[in-house]
Amino acid sequence: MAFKRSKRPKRDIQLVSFMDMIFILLIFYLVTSYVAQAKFKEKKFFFPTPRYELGRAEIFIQWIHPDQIFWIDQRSAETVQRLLDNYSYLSSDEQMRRVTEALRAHNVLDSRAFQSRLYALVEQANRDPRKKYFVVLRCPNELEYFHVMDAVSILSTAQYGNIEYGTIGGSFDDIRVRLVESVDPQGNIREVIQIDFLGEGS
Amino acid sequence: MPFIKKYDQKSLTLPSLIDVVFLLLIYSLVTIPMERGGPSEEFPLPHIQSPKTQDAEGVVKNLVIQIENERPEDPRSPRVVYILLPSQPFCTIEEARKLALQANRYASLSSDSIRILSDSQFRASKVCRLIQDEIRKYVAIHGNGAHWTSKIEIRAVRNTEFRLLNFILRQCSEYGDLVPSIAVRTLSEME
Repeated sequence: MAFKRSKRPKRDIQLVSFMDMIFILLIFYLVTSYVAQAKFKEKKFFFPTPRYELGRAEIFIQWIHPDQIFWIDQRSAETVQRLLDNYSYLSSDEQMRRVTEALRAHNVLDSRAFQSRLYALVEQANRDPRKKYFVVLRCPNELEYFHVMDAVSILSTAQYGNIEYGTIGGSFDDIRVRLVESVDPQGNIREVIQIDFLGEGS
Repeated sequence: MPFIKKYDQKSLTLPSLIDVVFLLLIYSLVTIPMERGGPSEEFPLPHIQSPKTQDAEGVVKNLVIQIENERPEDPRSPRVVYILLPSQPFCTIEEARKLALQANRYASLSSDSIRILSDSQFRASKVCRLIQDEIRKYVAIHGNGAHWTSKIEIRAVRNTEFRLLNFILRQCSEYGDLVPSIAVRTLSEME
């Protein structure tokens, strides 16, 4: 038995509505791709110009390679003292050279550990807004400058702006670490690490 | 018996026509700024996410030292340094770059030379002499102005050797408190 098919009126797509739809899709595509491209914005970041004189810093960071970063702060004073005692039979220059080389074995971080240390420093600075830190970032000539920018990017997130930084050029080979006596703000004499730069660098 | 087909005369309705015209208008408005470059301009600056940044102007208002790769796709190609100077009326970075080309305010040095030259050889290179001379001239002309506040900027591709940045910092440091800091252009995620 045959069934009657219900007759539906044939519907055509209207040209004008079709064009409307196509244009809306096109505009949607253009606008979204435009927004996606504008995700990043050009900004200015300020770096202090260095003064070439004896200065104080809480932390000294020296890039050796992109994935080898030498980090030294006052906590290493005991190690430096121990090493100086070990090499006490040598001339002063040779003693400093050996101490610096020996420190390389203790104080070099890979880039991941370096990042973690920077974040830890930021956390420490956020816990005590009264404490101020100055970080020296020293980078060899041949390294790309974005390594320094990456580090500064982390340091600048300190909530109270109590981490300051400066950047200079030079390699690990032209630094020498030693201990000198210094008087702290309370008038106590204590031994602090001094880092000498042998070459000026360009 | 012949049949006569009757076709409805279809006419373009006014509201639909207005729709289409407006859509075309919007389309052209959106595409024109894209053709001009707009924010999609690609310059591989280092990325930084910091609360201490300031918006960078699209026009050149200060001395801008622009460092780029001679062949943008090849990071080992020589570094080209352009000195972009502000002008009246202000011009875009691209326009200032063209002016620098016309005025011969650019120099290049191979990436290997930047890495291996001795300090004295590096300082004697055309790139360093250009940077040194232009900073000196700029500070001499503008440094005593009432609104002068460290108006030297660096806009350098992210793979630029630190030696170039360090040289610029050292040059600026010679002017003491006149140039207490320099601005480095970076890319930051939009808030």
